[in-house]
Amino acid sequence: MSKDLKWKIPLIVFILIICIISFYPPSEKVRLGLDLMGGMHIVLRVVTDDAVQAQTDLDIERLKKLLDEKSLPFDTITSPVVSSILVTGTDTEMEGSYDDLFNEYFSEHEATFSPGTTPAWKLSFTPRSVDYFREQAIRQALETIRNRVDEFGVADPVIQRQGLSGDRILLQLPGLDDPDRVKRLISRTAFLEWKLVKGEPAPTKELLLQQFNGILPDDLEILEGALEPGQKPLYYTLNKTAAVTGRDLKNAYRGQDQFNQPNVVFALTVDGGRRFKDFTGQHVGERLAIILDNRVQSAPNIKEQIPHGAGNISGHFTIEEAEDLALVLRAGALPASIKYIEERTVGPSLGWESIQNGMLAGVIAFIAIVLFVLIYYKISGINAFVTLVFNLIIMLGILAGFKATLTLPGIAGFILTVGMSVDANVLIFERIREELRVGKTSRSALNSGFQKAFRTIVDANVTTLIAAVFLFQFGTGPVKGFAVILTIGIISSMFTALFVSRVLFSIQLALRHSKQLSI
Amino acid sequence: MEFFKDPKYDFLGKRNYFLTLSAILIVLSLGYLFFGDGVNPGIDFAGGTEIELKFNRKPEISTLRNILKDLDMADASIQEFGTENEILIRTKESEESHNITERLTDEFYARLFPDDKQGNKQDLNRAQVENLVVFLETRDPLSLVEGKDAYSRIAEAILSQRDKGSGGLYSDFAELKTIPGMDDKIIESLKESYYLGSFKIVKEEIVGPSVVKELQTKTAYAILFSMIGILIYIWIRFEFKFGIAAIAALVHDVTICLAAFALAGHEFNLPIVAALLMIIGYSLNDTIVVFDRIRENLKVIRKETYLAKVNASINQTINRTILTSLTTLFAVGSLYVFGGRVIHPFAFTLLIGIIVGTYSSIFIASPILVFWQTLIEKRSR
Repeated sequence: MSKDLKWKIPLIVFILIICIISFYPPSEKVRLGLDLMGGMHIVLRVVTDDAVQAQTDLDIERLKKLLDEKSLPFDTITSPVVSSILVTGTDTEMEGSYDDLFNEYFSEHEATFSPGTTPAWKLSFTPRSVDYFREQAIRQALETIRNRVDEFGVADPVIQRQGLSGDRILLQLPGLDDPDRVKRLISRTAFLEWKLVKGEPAPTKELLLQQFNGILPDDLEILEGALEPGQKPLYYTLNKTAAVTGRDLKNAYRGQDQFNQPNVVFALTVDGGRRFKDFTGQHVGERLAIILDNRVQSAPNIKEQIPHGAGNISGHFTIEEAEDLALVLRAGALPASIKYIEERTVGPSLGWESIQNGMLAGVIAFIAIVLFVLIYYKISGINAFVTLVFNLIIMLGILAGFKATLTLPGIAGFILTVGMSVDANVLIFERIREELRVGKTSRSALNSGFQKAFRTIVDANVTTLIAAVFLFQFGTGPVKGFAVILTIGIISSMFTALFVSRVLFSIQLALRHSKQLSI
Repeated sequence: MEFFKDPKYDFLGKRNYFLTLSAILIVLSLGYLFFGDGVNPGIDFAGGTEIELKFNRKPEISTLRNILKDLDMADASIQEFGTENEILIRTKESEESHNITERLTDEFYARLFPDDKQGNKQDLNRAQVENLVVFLETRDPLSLVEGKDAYSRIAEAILSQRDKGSGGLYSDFAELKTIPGMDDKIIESLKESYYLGSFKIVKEEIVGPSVVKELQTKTAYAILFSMIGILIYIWIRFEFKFGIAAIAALVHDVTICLAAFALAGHEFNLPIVAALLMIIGYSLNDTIVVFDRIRENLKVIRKETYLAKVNASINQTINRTILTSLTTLFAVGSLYVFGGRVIHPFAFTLLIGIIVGTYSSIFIASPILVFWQTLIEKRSR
C-alpha cells in the first residue's frame, strides 16, 4: 500500500495544483454567464427578402433602360414577389428579341413567356442566385453588426450565425443593460446618401407634386424630412441618383457646431471626396440634402465648392444620439432590415443579487453537509470532507480550464453536486462498514468495500450523465450551463470518491498505526 | 453513528398500501394536470414579453394600468413582488416592431415621473461606464493635469456602487459620498449633467413565436433522447424487468412532481426541464443502487424467496438511501431558502423530486419488480 501512495499522493497534489492555477483568481478566470454578470442575449433574423427586393428593384430600373434603348415596347414592369419581375404589354411578334435581351443581360434570371389573356414575360431569379443574394445579405449584416458591436466597446461579445437557414444571428453582449439603445443601434439601417434638392420643400407631398402636374418624373423622388421637436414635417423633391453615399465614408465622429450643439463630422474617401468636390463645384447655390435611412436629415445650401471631402451632419442631436449616429456610420449600413425574435436582458444589479444568493446558499449547504457527515462517520467523515473540498477545487479547475460559462442554474448545479457527490462516499463507507461487520480486517474491508461499491457508483452515475449530455445538446444558455456543471461534477466526484478517498483511507490506516478504522 | 442498526424492516409487506397510495396520487396528479389548472407555461413556452422594473418609490398601480391600456396592451398583467418597489409587466406581444420597452419607458417618464428629465441631462441610473468615463474626462472636475485614467476608476466605482450597493438605482446623489475617494467636485459636476431616473429595467425578456416553437422541439428531444438513452443503458446492465420497474418509478416521480409544481403556481420555463431531467437522474441513481444490491443478492443468497431477497436488499441499502437523500436535501433546501427568487421554482422542483424519488426507489420500484417476478413465476408454473 505504501508503495502505491508514493505515486498516488504526488499525482493528486499535482492535479490539485493544476486546477488551482487554472481557476485562481476566480474573479478573473471563471467566466460568468449573462444572467450573473448582466448583459444582453439577442437573437435576430435578417430579413433577406429585403436584399432580394433591393436587387430586383435595381434590375427593374436596368430593364426599363434596356428596353427603351432597344426600342422594345412594354406597358408595365412590376415585381409581384420579391424574386421576380413581370413585364406586360410586350410585342408578341418580337418574342425572339426579348428573349435575346433577357439571355444577354439577365443571366441570373429565368425568362418565361406566358401567352394567356394578358401576355407577359416573367423573369425569375434562379434558386441559386436567390440563395446567393440571401447569403450575401446575411454575411454583410453579420459583418456590419460585428463592426457596430466592436465600436460599442463590449468585452467578449459573442456574434454567431444560427438556425437551419442560417439567417439568424445570436448576439451576447455582457455588461450592456440598456436594451432600447442597443437594439436601436443594431437594427438601424444607417444608409446615408447625399442628393440634390429640386425646388423648395413643402409641408405636403401634394404641393410638391403640383409642380409636375401630379406625375413625378422618373428621375426624381419625394422624401420626408426628419421630424424636429415642435415642428411640422417637410417634404423634399430630390434627384433619385445620389452624389455620394455612406459607402464613400472614411470616418465619422461626434463633433460640435458653432452653437455648441452636438453634430456628426464626417470624412470621405479619396474617391468619394473627389466626386463630392466636383459635385459641389457644379451646384454652388443649390441645396444638398443629407438623407439618412430615407429621411432628409438636413438640406443645407452649397455656399462654395467643398474641396476636402469633409463636412458635418447636424440635427437636434443629444450627445448620445450624435455619438450613436457616428458609430453606425463608421460601422457601415445594413443590407437588409432585421427583426428581433428573442431578447433577454439582465441588469447588473439582478446578476449581482443572484451571485450573492447563490454563494450564500452554497456556503450554508456545504457547512450543513460537512457537519452532518462528520457526525455520522467520525474520522472517516474528515475523509468525506476532504474529498468534497477536492471535488470543488477540481470542478472549478475544469470549469475555468475549459472556459465554460458559469450561470445561475450552473451555481445550482454546483450546490446539487456537492450534495450528491457525498453519495459516492456514502456508498463506499456503508460497504466498508458491512465488510467490517462480518469480521473482516480493516485492510480487507477497505479493499472489498471499494471493489463492491465501484460498479454501483458507475451504474448510478452513468444514467445522470446520459441526462446531462442530452440536456447540453438541446439546452440553451443558462440550462446548458447547468448541464456542463453536472457533467463536470459527476466525473470529478467519481474520481475523488474512487481514487482520492481510497488514498485518504490508506493514509488514515498508516497514520493511526492501528488496524482500526474510525467509520 | 447509524440511522438503523442492522435493519430488518418488512418494507415489502405493506407494499399494496404504498402502491395504492401512489396510484391515487398519480390519478390525482394526472387529473389536475389535464383537467384542472394544469401547468402554467412561462415565457419560454408561451412567448411574449416580460419586463421587470425597479422604482425608487412605489408607483401608482392604477396609473400603470392606464398607461398599459393606452399603449394597446390591455392584456398586460402587472405583478408586484420582491420589495414593494419592483414590478413585473407581462404581455403576449413579442414583435420587435412594437418596441414595447421603448414606448413604456417614454410613457413612464411622461406620466409617472414628469420631473425626472430636466433639459438635456442624462440618467445616471442608466449610464454605461464608457459614457461616464468620457463625461468625466471632458469635464475634468478634479482639474487633473495628467493621470486622467483615474476617471475610469471613479466611473467604475460609481456604477459598481449603484449596481452592487444601491440595488441598481441611486435615489439621491448623497449616496455617492460613501464611495471611497469620492470628491464633492465630482458629485457637483455630475449633478449638472445627470439626473437620477426614478426607475430602471432590471430584467427584460422577449420571446417570439418562432423561438417558442424551437424551444418546445428542443425540450421534447432532450427528454425523449435522455429517456431512450437511460432505458438502453439499464437494459444492457440489468434484466428487462428491472428497466420496467425503474421506468415506472420515473413516470411516478415526474408526474407527481409536475402536479406539485403546477399546484404551487410556478411558471414552467426551460430551467424546470433541467430540474425534471435532474430528478430523473437522481431517482434512477437511487433505484439503481437498490437494484444493484438485488442483483448481487440474487446470486449470493440461495434459500430465500425472491421477495425476501428484495426486502433484504432494501434493508441493506436503507442507510445509504436516507443519508444521500439527506445530504442532497440539505443542498437543495439551502438553495430553496437562500438561493433567491430567480432560482426558486427550480429549487422547488428539485426539493419535491428528491423526496418523491427517494420514496419511489424504496416503495415503488422494488414492489413493481416483485410483482413482475410473481407474474413470471405464475406463468411458468
